[in-house]
Amino acid sequence: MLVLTRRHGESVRIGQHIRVTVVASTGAQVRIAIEAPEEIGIFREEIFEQVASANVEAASRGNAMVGPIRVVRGHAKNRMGGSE
Amino acid sequence: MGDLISFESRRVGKIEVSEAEVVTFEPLPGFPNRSRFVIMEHAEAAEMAWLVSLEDPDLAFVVAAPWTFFPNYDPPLEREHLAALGIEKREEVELLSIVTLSGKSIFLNLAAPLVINVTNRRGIQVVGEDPRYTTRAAIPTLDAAASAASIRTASKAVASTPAP
Repeated sequence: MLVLTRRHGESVRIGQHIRVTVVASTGAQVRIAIEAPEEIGIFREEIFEQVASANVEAASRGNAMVGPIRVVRGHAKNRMGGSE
Repeated sequence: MGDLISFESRRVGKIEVSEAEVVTFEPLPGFPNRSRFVIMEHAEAAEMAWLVSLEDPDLAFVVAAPWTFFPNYDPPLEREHLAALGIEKREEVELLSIVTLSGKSIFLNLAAPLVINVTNRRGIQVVGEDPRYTTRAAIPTLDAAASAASIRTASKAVASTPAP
């Protein structure tokens, strides 16, 4: 892990396309601005972790629903709309 | 349709699909190395489907169209999510929620829906921060929710997905 000290208005570059800037800090809070390409997901850590644990839980359940399956051809949207 | 892929999933059994049916996801949170999935119809619950990993025989999610159960659902989709998937027309969007089965309760993850571009078959899980929605939204019962009326509403809601 790389640990850096930055002042207000100073930035860190991560690769060519990502820039993180410290825009304010008051007491225990730091405001950062992140510039990154659209396809890069940026999440608050706790939200990401919440989704990750929901996914892990979802994947570990559902054994009761194991049954024969059929391949979906075409959009599930249409299938779920009852146009099969 | 290209070459057939044969895969033995311990969750749903043997799968044979063509390469054209594979959906490539940005790895979902919690599963950093899994990106190739296929959507399979669920033979015993018409409103549910399976999202089956083609890389991990133990990994499969039950998924559902959220509007089937939550007709007023307003997904936390932003322009950047659609752009990231290369979605240009709303007809290209397919949106699914991951289902968690816990005892007799069924939950839908409305906070973090799966969004798929049906044209290029790429997908992401939107990590939403909309306080209206939770990763565990309980649905009353499978039977009650599967009414024709709610399915009709679902189709309408899909059509109102914001254009990029």
